[in-house]
Amino acid sequence: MALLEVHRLSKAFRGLQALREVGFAVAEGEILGVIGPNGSGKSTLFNIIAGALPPTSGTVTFAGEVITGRPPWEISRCGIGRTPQIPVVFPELSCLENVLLGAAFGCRRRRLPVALARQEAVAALETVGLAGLAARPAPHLSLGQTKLLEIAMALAASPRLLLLDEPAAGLSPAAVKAVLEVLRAQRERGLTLLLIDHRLRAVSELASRILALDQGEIIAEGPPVEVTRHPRVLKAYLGEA
Amino acid sequence: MPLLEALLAGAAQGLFYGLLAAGFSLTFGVARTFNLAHGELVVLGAYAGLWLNASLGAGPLAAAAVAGPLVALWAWPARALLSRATPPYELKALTLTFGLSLLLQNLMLLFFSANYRFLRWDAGEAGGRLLGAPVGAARLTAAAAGAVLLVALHLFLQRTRPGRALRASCQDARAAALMGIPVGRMQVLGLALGGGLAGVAGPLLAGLQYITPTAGVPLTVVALTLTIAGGVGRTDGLALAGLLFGLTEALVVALAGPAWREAWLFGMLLLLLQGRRTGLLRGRRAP
Amino acid sequence: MRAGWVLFGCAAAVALLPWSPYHLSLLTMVLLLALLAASWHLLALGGQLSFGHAAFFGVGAYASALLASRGGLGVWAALPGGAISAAAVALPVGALSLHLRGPYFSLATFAAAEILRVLATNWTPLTGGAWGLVGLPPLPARGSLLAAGGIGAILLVHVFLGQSRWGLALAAIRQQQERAEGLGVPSRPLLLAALVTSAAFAGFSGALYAHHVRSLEPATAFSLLFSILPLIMALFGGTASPAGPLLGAGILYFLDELFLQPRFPAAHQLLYAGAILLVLLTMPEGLLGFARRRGGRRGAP
Repeated sequence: MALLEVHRLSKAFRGLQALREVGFAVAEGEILGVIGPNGSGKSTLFNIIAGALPPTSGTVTFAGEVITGRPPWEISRCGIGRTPQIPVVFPELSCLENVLLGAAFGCRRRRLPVALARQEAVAALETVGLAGLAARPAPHLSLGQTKLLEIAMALAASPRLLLLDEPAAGLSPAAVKAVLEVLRAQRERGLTLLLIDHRLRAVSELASRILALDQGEIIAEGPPVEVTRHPRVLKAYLGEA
Repeated sequence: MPLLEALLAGAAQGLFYGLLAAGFSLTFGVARTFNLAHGELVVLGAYAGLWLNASLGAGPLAAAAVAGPLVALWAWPARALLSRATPPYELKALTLTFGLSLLLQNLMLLFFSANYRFLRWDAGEAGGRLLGAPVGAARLTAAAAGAVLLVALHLFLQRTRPGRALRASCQDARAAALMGIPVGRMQVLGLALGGGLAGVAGPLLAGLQYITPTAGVPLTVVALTLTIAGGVGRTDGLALAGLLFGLTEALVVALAGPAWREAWLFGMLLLLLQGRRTGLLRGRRAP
Repeated sequence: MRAGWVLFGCAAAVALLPWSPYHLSLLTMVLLLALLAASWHLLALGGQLSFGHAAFFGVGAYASALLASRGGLGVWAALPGGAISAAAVALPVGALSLHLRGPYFSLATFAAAEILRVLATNWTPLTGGAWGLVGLPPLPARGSLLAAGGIGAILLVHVFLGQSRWGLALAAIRQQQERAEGLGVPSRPLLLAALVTSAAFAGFSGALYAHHVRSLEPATAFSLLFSILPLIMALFGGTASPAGPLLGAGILYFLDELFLQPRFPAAHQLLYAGAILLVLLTMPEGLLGFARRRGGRRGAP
């Protein structure tokens, strides 16, 4: 049974059809890459899966349960974490407190005492290599560090599925390397990842399967080798040949 | 036919309400905040009108013509105040106007005392008849002025260059600035127009109801409710919302009594807030 | 937090001393207003600024008054009855307003307070209409002590918030609500809980007021003043710590009663208008935040 199933998902915004009958499945432990030009609906898809937006029609099933229409915090508690495209941290809190939030409220069906949550938070910071910055106020980080903090916040909740929206966007090569390292390590530990990224090479290396979207529709699906050479994908990215 | 009379009065009142809302929504458009002191600006205009009437014998329209520009002067201190609001801007600015409202109320209390005042029209019974039912002169004047000003505003915003520039800076200040529109000056223009319309409404209001320093609050609420219902900057939406509101208000009062007028007003506001500012007519602009 | 306990201690100590009736009355008023400001502040922790707290104040006042005068309850039972009634009213108010953000939430609470005022004015058989209620039974103990007790209870709530994950959750919701939700913070239920708790304390403050002045009318109990005072007092004192609203209430009320009202009886409310403008323009973090900055420490919650 697939961990995540998306079935005929559509989303319309006042006349703009952002998603058209999108359907796919993600197996546990798999890494699925999602690519597509700007405006193809990738972020909208993530928003709907995470519960931040309601779909116009269609369903999302996670671990056998239908999660469409549930509030975002319940979906997070079920085991889906995400990092947003533009990093959003809590400006008045320290890095540790930012991550502590994820640890204290994440996918725990039972309550976690604050002391234990704190331990998980510290562990998450260590995983991304930011342990030394625990006390620093969150806005004082560089973009690369902020992106890693975002990942730590999501990881602290021990998710089963992580939605990553352009985790390496706007980063220097060194920072990109750091992020990819973390993601590879998570892949080793069996975490299921759904990854949006523009860099075809990075996605191809990490993902076992790629989904290509254009104008709200899936135009190709399969192993990276096939999808990156698919004519429709090339046309969407590069225009008419 | 008392019901017809009530409905006509309601419709006339509604046009006047539309005028109130027009100034309010303009202020919202440029300042991105609901001006909770709008009613107090109207009352200021009313006091100015009362003074002009008492000392110079000015009639309501003349008084309105003077009070308008007078109150419009608020634009400069208002802009100075608002530009100093720190993030989160929307809440801070709203609270600022809340404080301004309290300030103006108390200043007026200090200078004009709490006595009730009223502007008596010399026209007597020269109200005229509409469809066979009498409409008071004061209400007719207010409604006519409201209609004329709404049309004038609409033409200004749609057909003139400064008007279009104003609308542009309301919709997207940064884009407007990039296109060479002097956004700062547009802000002052918008605030001045908003205040001016409030000031004009003041002396007209003095002929319809008693003026006291605290008379502004229900006016602000009406303007707020109509703006949410009619859409920001949509003069047609505001006029329609005003008419509808005036009519329903008259109905409620005729059927249930004057005590329920306020309940209807606040109930409407609460209801409209649920609908989350989509407006009666599909305004393409969301604040 | 410590400053809050210090203020509480002072208040309780002062409340125990033998004062003249006039001073005791003054003390009662300032403490119940401080309690109201502190209750408003609880909700502000979650980022929602209520412009209609008079709704809960008024409901608490009327509920307690009615329970004591017509329901035959002793005032000891009526007071918490007022608090519970206000908390109950917070449920529909929350349902109608908590899904709104920022200024729209504020406006919705404002509308709710006004609707309750109109209801109280017109539901004459229950509330005595516009003439209100008179001859209410007095407080069974020193009002200042009861109010101080309420303040102590609110401080305990803050202790709970600080020790558990809920204080962090509220701060997160205030700063970035959507992100917090994405991390699993149940924002709606939490904000509703904050609103209900805030309303309960505001209702208790109202109940104290009712039995302190021993008469009530809708125009006063639900007046805009009781919506705007807690807001001004809390913002003036500073919202970063629970001591802020207490300090703000104390300073502003004493300035008002002791210096302004005797000299400018007509326009003494200018003090409050001036205070709010001053705070918003020059000291957005309030008095305490300003002092903390001057003292060199980081002014963060």
